Amino acid sequence: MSTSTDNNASITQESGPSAAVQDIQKKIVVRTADGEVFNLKEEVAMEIDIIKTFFQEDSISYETVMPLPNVEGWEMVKVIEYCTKHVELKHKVDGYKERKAFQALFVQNLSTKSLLALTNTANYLEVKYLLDFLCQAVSEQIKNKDVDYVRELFGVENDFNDEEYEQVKAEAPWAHENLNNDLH
Amino acid sequence: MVEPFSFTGPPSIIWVGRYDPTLPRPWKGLIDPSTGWLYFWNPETNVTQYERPSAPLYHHQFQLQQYPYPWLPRYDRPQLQYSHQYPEPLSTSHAPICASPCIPIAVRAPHPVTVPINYPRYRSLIREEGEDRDRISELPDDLICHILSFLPTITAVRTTVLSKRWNKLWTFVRHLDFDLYRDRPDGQKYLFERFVEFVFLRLVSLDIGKFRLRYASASWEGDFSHVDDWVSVAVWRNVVELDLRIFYVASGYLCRLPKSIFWCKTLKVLKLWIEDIAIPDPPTKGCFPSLKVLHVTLIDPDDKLGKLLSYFPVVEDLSIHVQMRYSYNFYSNFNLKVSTPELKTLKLSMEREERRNYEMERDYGGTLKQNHFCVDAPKLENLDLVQIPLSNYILENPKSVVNASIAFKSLAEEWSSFPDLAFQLLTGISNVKCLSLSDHPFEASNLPVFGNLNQLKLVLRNCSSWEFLAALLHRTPNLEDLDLVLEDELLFYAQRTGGEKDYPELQWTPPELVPNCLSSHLKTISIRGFKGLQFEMKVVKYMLLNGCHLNKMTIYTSMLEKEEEYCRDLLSFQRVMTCQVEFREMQF
Repeated sequence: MSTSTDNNASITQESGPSAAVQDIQKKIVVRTADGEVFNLKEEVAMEIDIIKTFFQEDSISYETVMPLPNVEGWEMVKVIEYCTKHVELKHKVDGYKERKAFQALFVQNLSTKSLLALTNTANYLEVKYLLDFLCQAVSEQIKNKDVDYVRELFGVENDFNDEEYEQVKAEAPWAHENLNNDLH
Repeated sequence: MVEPFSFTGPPSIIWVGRYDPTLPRPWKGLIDPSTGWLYFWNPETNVTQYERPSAPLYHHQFQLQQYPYPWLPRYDRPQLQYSHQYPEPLSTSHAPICASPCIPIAVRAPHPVTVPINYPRYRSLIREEGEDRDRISELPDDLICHILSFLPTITAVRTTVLSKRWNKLWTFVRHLDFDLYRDRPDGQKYLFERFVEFVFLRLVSLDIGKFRLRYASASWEGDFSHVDDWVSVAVWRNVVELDLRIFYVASGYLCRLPKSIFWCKTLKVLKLWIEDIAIPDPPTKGCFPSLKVLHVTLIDPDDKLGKLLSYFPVVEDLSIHVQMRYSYNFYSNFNLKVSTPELKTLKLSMEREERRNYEMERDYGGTLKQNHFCVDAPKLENLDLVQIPLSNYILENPKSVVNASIAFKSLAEEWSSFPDLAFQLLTGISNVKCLSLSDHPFEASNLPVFGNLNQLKLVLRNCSSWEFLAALLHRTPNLEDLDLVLEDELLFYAQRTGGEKDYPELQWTPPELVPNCLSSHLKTISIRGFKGLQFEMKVVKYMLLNGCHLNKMTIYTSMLEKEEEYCRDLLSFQRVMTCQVEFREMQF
């Protein structure tokens, strides 16, 4: 009767209309850069394209532990969380609001640096919908910010001297006008 | 480390024709970047040719000496010379950037050229092992471009000042988003237009993914030609998704939808807002060859829009939103006939700006009977109706529908015939697997049997809905998943005042027969908007008692602090031991 806790990808899926009580799906094992090992359900793992091509195109048996050298443990947890929710919502008729609520919660406690790191991971793992969502979230963060903030965010060094800077600005004068508080 | 693209070189396509008054509209002059030859393209008929199209003689012969590209640095401007006589056949002096001096004598029109620049896709570069993983400063260029694609274009352009590396990154962006009122709140249209042209001139990516434009047009022809040009450029660059909304600021002139979108081969998604826009007649065949998704918003439609949908032969996802404003012309009507063979998803919704003036309501009654929606789609799988007056709605071939979501709206005019119409509609779609209903102001006796129904979502708005629920459960023998949303204002007040006994209709009596689905198939139930009222608990206990196959019940409530109380209450039920009951916070 207590609230269920989902903290690990290996928990059995909540029973939906189609799942049987016994979970007989195959598991895929991956290991991340910091040595953590994750057991993924097959249908969640197949959402991650890099895993999908690894196992399907080369016909490698599911016994092999797939190494993911560019992925950290916490990133994998987040990716699994998102993919699991995506699979769950695929079968629902009217999941729009639920998806939005989940997405808001997903990025709520992420610092910008973690968000960027996660975006990079999603790019590497080739999960298109997660990548699009994360890029959208990053772009929301830089929408109305000034130049220095964005520079710090992305770790960009300003290598223009003043003259060049003015020249660059003069190339598209109307774009840089002080209209909103946007990147000015 | 592979460089995916190079930053050097002039932009690949130079748009010459805009400032060339000797070219007849709608011809445009373009430079073939690999050879440097000038050729001409007609966006409305998609003809390309080397020969200059015949131009009318001008009364005022003049020699154009000004530079047509004031925004380019001087050394970049092409040296164009125009003759004051009737244009001569192409010679070297007409080709601004000419790599080879040969004069083309080809008669056959060239194909549009794609320059093999490796513009970035979203895949990242392969990392080498042992590379220092300082991820923030090493976000690959293509990923940054992907992030920039989600920004409004004016914001993306502003990133040029960040650093030398970022200076040209925006030119590889693949989605364009221009909005006159958002980008230029001061409303300076001239500067907005210059900006859009600047972007097109500098844009390196040859395939535009998404092009979104919000623009206001005044009441003269020349003004609207900008939109025509921009859409033509987008079409030229193989746009995949187009999202247009053109406001009109002065009445008396109807804008026209740009004709170049009709034959665009790459266009897959089209989103239009049609408000006082004339739809030109399309070519007789072969228009919109790959358009799969169409979302249209119609404001105050009239009968010319009725045949709109015959232009889209292969569309699979159609969404039509009709908005009737109170200034609607009471005498015009429209017939919308949707008969596309490939249609899989359909969403129709209607919105009326209603006045609290009952006289207006009566007038609507007259017009209502003249608007018809007729849907003929044999492969239709998903249907979504939002507040469509049922008397004007005909659905042919409804047996294929798998998912349906219907939000009813009852109108005073239809009160007597509403239950029959609803019955007709629901019988038609009685093969659905997933159904979502809301606002059902009719009795449950008017319902057919839904033999295939697996998932049901009901929005219950008033207290008589509970009987409706019970009756519906009797008619859905194979139901496995039930999702109830309690949105009841009366309950809300009752909860607030605490006087539940004052509302006799809030008492719930269990049905005489246990519904078949409850005892044999139902596996999951979720209830949203639980308020802890007495009769809600009764319903929950009834379900738990009789749901023999129930696996999980999830209750979403905004009052989580009372969870302990609810749990203790339900503990007394032995049935609970084999079913998992979970209380969650309601987020939406």
